[in-house]
Amino acid sequence: MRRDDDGRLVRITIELLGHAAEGSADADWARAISSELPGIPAGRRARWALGGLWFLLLRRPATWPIRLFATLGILWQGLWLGTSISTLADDAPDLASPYSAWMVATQSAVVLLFLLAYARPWLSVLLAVPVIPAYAAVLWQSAGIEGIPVLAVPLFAGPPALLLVAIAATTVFWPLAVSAMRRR
Amino acid sequence: MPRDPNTSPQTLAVLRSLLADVRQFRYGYDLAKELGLKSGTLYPILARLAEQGHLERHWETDAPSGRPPRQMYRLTPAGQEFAARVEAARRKSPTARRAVSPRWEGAA
Repeated sequence: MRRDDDGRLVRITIELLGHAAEGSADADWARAISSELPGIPAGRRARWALGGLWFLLLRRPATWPIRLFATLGILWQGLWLGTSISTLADDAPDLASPYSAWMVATQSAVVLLFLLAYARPWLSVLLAVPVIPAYAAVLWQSAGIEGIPVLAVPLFAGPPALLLVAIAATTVFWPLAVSAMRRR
Repeated sequence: MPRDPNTSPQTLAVLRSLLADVRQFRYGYDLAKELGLKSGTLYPILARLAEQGHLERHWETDAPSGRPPRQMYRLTPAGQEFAARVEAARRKSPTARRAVSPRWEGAA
């Protein structure tokens, strides 16, 4: 990373650090992390600031939009998980491909990560990880039956995407927008 | 069974470092540099110890001009007792001794 890029990243991260803990008991920690920056060698400041930002984001509680989307996600994926379990039970005697088992495993992981969003919203960003094999499983099955997997996107990527948008919006973008408006 | 969060090698290293001079206040980057910890590892430890009442925090009062005051940390009396206790337990337990990497081992 070039020195000026590092400086820009540090400035943005400091701005985010201030907002990540604004109005919360963690505001002191945000100030503490930022106050160290002048004493840190230039090339290491961005990593320090980003590490501090991650620490503050992980401590942020879930806001109501996050809880709402997590609940919707649990209901949505829960329904599909029920269907997948039923399919797996039907296929169990002569399971020709691991598709059904894949689906149950990945959908269970997604439901668990939606639950995690209540306690640690930013850790639940891992939602993107199990969605990929779930999507691949649908593609695989659809290829086998010559179907077009257009429904796979809203079914598997939709609810996690909505939750990710809620997490990013309420913890980063909205506080930044409010701060920009205040400055004007 | 969940592990006690205050027995990780990194937490033990922070406790030992602060226990080395209980009167002296230390700042975050100083501890991070000494122990080879990243801010994303160090601050959760400091926050947890502070919330448990093991750590005392205060803002530097004599910061030179041009630099913002830093937040300083040292062990509370309860924290000193706790750190001494976990350090004694670590010395007694061969598995816990092995869990501390040479870098952190050398930090105290």
